[in-house]
Amino acid sequence: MTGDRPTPAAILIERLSFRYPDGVEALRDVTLRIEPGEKVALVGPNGSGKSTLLRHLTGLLTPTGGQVSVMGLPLTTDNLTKVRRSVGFVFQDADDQLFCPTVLEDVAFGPLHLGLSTDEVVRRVRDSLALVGLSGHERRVPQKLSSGEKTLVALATVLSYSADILVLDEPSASLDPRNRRRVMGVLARLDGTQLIATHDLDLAWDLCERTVLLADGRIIADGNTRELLTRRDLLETHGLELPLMLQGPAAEPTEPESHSRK
Amino acid sequence: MHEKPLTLAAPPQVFLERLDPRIKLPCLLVWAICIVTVPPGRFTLLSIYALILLLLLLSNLKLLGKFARRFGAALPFVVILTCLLPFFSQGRTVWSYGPLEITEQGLWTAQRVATAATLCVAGMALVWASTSESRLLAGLRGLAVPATLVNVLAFMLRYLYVLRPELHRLTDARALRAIGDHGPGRLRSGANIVGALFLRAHDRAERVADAMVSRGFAGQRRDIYHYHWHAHELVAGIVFAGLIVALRWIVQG
Repeated sequence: MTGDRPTPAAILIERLSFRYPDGVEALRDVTLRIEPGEKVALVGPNGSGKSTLLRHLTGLLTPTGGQVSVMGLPLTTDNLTKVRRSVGFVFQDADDQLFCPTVLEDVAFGPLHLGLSTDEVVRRVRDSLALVGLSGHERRVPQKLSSGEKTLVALATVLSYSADILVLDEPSASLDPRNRRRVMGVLARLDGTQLIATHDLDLAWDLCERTVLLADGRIIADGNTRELLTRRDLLETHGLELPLMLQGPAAEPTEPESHSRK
Repeated sequence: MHEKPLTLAAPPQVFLERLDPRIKLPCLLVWAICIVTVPPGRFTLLSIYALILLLLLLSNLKLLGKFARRFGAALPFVVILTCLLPFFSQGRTVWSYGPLEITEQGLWTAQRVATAATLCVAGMALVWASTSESRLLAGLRGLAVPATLVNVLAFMLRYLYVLRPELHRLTDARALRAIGDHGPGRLRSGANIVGALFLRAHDRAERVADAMVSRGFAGQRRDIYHYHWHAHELVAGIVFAGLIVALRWIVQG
């Protein structure tokens, strides 16, 4: 014992279980520790529990069993506000995140509800939009933005309240290659802890040093991205494929087609 | 391409757009109250009100297109109401067909209601055309309208744009799979679409609530806009409201 208090984990999930009211067991005994500054990809097939796990990090769901701590604070009703200040959650569908009449109001929503002054809020809005490359878009209305711009504005809405941890649910879903590259560029430039749930294994390969594979509500593998994402058998067993960049120019389908067109 | 925005948050260009919504909205209320309380037979007064509205529109000509679209959207409700009224009033019958009767009193009421409703709807359309959603909502908050009511209105406006494309996707999907679908079958699939849209709207509402809570919302919405009263705008509002009220009492014809 050195007497120094160990740095708390950015995210600490201990034996987390969750069952939906309809009886579906979405998470089973999940334990995960993410250190401050780590960028972690959470991968897994559809229905593996990725989004359910992320929703526990801001207290949107209450665990059936186990515990979640964020920056050393256990997620309880008393701590909920503090925890939510630490976690910036970017939803999969940007239309869920952008609910105000203008970009300015959407990006300002978080800092305004932290009780900051209007001048400070406006400064943060400008800085956040500059960070995602959308300076001058304050007056635009969210429904007129392209999908890529919506995702970037959704990211700005959480950057504006300086969250310690960014939690992103499928940030590259439904983006064209150029906008996907833009979003990835912004995420690569940002410091701080990031937990990214994604099917986009190339994104995980490029951005995250660590990858966690979740399937059927359980953590199947957890380790270095470059090692984990080259294990073809492991990935294919759980409904995933090697990142496209590792598949070569003429990748064969992993399963033969059972039907042919007559 | 179905998406067409109802309102764009463009910078204000004409006086009515720049005018503080906290002045415009009470003026609209005064306008509506004065018009609906006009006694029967005061055609001169109603004509003067119509002329004032026309002058306002002409002095803010850039709003004409927006005004026409909004007025056109609301007008069918006035027409339906006007067409039904003659059948549901007591009085001397002027026309009958089976159980249907049109009364003289009903025709007069319909004519009165049609004029008043058209003028009210036109006033509302002018305010709607000259006020962006953000300013309208901020104005309502500034006038101490209950926050929950303003929030409901804000979400309704925001998610019209999301649900409308969703509705079009559903109807397109039906059109592609139901070639030659007419009659009762079409009605049934239409009802299914309404049901699906309701469920999607419900899911969307839950996800939006989650997004708000995640960003620190705890029941009380805060606003970034802070309006300052301008003397010339206040004077304009008071003069307009005063003129409308004065005409209501002065003009007897």
